[in-house]
Amino acid sequence: MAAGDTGRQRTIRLVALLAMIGASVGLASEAAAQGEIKIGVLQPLSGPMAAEGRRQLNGMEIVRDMVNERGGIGGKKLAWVVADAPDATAATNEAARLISQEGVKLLSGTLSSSLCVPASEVAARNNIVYWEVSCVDPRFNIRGYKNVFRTEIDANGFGWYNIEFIRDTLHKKLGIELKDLKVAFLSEDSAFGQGTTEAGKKRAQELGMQIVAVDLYNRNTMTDFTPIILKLKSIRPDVIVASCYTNDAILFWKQAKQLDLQVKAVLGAGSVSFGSPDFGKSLGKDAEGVFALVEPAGLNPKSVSKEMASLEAEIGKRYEAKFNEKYAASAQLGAAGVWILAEVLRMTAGDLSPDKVRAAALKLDIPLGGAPNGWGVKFREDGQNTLERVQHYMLQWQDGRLVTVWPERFAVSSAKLVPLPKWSER
Amino acid sequence: MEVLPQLIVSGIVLGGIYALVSVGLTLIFGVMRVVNFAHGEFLMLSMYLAIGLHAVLGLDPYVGLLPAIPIALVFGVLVYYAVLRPVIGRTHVVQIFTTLGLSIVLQNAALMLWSANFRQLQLPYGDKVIAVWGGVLTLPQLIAFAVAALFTLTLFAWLKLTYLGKAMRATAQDPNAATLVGIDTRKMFLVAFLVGTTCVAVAGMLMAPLFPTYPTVGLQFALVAFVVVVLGGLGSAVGALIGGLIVAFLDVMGGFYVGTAWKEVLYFIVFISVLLIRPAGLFGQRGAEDLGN
Repeated sequence: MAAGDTGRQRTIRLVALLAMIGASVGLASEAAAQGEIKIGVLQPLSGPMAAEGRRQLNGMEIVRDMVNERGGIGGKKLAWVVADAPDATAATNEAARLISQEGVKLLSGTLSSSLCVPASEVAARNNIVYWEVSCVDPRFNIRGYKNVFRTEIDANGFGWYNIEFIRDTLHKKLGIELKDLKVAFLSEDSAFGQGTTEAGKKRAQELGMQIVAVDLYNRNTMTDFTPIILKLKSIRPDVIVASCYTNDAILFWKQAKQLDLQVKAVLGAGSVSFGSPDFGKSLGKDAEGVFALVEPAGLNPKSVSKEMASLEAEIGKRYEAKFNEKYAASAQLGAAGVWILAEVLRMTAGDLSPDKVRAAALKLDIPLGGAPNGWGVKFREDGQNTLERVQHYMLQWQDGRLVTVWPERFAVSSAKLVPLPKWSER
Repeated sequence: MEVLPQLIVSGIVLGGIYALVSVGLTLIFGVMRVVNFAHGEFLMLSMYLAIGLHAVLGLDPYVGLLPAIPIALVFGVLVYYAVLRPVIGRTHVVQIFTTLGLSIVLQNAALMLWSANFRQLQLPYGDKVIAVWGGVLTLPQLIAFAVAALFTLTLFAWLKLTYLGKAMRATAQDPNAATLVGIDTRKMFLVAFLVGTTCVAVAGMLMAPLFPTYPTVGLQFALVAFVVVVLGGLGSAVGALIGGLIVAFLDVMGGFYVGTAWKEVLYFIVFISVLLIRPAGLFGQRGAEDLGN
């Protein structure tokens, strides 16, 4: 300070300085209040997974819009920067681009197990949060990263729930003791299929089921299921547990009919498999009776909180009005993931810094039935939503629609066509 | 149902499908020496055409062949003059980028036009099973195979017996020498491309009842088609049929006796072995494998 300053001058300077600071703070907070919380969203919007990737993005958008309409996160609106990630290379490149060029501080996505691991590597390297709503690769959460979260279960959960359905109800309906039940696993050979199948096999072994076949195939080059179906015909499993994508699921079941494969039940996990709307549309009445482990298609209203029941109904209604198709599976994962993210961001007041998000996420504790899809939320230390809270449901194709048939608490209908009738009698 | 007869029937049917997709490619690849990466997308477009004709006009895909062939010809002419003609005779890198670019454009155009949903063309008689030699096949499979066999044999006869066919084979063997003896190789390129495009259009129409249709369905068959074409011999229609059958049998038999996960290993072993012994492929013109012309 200059030697000639008088006390009065000093006071004026101080006031001016304070005023400037105040003004700039005011401006900044105003900008932030009007501003947006920018989130990078990676989804496969071209390539073989585009159908489900688009659905998932649509589901995410519906909830984003609802959050924004209701005042956003502390006045700030959620805003997407969407990037197309049809394969692992694109996922890596686009994740890097969103971070370095678009300046996003949180990444979310991605339909597939082949995408979430590479994309989240990039997020981890750049020390930002990766918020996964869908992929099920078990490796996602075991890499020691502090900033990866997943709202959906992993493939272990898929495999576990598949077998749990058999243990809890299916084998009784079939009238076969668990130890006598012959189970065949059919699996595409990416992380999704293998992860699900490994976990299912493990659980089936623990329960003493007879695992009579495990067949792996590459879904990108699978043009004929005859060899597998003939093998299954000679082994005669009671139940087939399949982990497919959509085109192969359709082809498999089409050929199963053609070659007259008789099984008592067939079930498979995932929104891209028997749970895809395209499966039912493509096969018509031949899809009847097939089980799909996915998000609920209708929940027993008594099983979820009242608030959640009306929220669910609203999401579904808005989705169907906007996109003119049933709100299902992939879209439900996206919707639930964004809803949970919004809950966490409310706790951090929109702060996306990894420490704050992590602290809030780990603190969040919502009981089963308190989140969309009838889920609950309790993140494990490794960022995985506890498998018990990510309730999964066995749906069945009945009269051209998927309906929730298990667990009983949530079910809106009971399982039919158990055991599956002969093809000639359908 | 006995296993072996069914495997044989399925192998033959699948071989017919592979041949159908490959026979167009073998002409384009063999005569023009352009590696057409968009071949699978041509197939995809044709499958959508079958679905469209069925949905809008109620046309059975077999009747749909009548409008499909002229549509394919017009499409072929457009693509030839707009995309391929400028790159004929350029380096392979230029051609590969061009056709790969075309394939990406077509895939994404399909994605925008028809979305990525999986569609299945359902025919009332599509699942009707016919018993043959102790195995079963469906009517659409039988028709696909019959047409594949007919097409390859007709093409074979045409290439062998007609002047145009001979000129085409000469072009496949050595374009420079063909030019020297007075063959208009540019015209041959156009004819080869149009015949190839028509073949793949027919393939798509016949395959729509058999496989789900989606914007990237072509990828599933394009790789196999390239294997079949090189295995059978560039430019050889019979090579495409035999090559298709070999790959299909390895698919089906290997899938059953060794495991489906191994099928590609098996056919690539055979593929590499054949190329070591006969670099021109099984039925290829000697010297035609020299891509550096």
